[in-house]
Amino acid sequence: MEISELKAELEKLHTASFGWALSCCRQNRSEAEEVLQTVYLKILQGKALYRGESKLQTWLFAVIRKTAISERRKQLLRSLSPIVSPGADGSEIESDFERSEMQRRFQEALAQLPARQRETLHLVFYQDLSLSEAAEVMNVSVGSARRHYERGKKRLREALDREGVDYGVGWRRKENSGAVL
Amino acid sequence: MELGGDEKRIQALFSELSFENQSRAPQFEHLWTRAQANDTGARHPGRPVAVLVSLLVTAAACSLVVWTWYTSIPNSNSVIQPVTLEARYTPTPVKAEQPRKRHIARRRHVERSIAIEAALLSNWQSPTQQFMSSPTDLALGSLPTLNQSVKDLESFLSKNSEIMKESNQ
Repeated sequence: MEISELKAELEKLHTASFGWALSCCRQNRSEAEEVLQTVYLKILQGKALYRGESKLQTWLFAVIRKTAISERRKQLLRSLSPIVSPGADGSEIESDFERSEMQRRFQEALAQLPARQRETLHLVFYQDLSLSEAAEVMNVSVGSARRHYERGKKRLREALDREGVDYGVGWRRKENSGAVL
Repeated sequence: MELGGDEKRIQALFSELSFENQSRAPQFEHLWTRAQANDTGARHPGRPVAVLVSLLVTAAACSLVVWTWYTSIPNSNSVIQPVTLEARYTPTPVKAEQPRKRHIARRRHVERSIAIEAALLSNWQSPTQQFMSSPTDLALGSLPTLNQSVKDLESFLSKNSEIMKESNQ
């Protein structure tokens, strides 16, 4: 795929990519921007090469996930070193968005989930991916993705109950709520 | 798999999150151009540094190998060397930083002591030398000349033969 063509496709997926990057970076906006920029840089340098073996979206999301993990690891190393850079100590983990009270509680409930479960729920419910596509992004088997999905759903429900989120009222239903798999 | 009641509610929460994120997403062009700027900026200076570092590492490794090899070889000069007098009295090599005058003075002092010792050695006599001398040294020490002995023997024999003839007659 030509770079100009790829750029056009990436632009179409940009908003979804940013949402996924936010999820991978625990809703830290600056970190998500950094990750997304690094992903674009990898694509420009040819370090991340799309060979057309899968959907562009799943490939791109897999690259974003890997980059976010590697950036998080680097941050962790920096925080362990004696010279701590500003913002690397986890003080900016919380989102800088001003969200509604319900969204804030929802975010807190999501943050309580293990990473894999949170990622699976995000890919299925936020990005409208099937479980097999989510499994491809996360580089796990479909069976494993299904387990993460079921357990994540259960734990999220329990967490939302604990947080007291009345998620039956006041939400905007998404039009495209089709089959998951 | 149809979404159940709880799933629809969860999806609704995610939809709301998606709606909020969409309005706050950065511009694609902004991130893309920043990535492009980083690409051109970071690509070129990175490579020479990497090459320089790898060269330095290689040079250090080579010198380490050579040094290890050199120190493992036994010194051929240390194998059985006759100790000469000069070598015995030659002072141990002084440090390079010591002044040259001091080195010359020490060398002269050593040479003078060698000369004195050599003179003493040449005049030395053994205390048992007198027991080795004898009155017969002159006779034992000199050999008769061969012709002289033959002449003496001829004269002696001719005398003896004349005496024997006279006694027989």
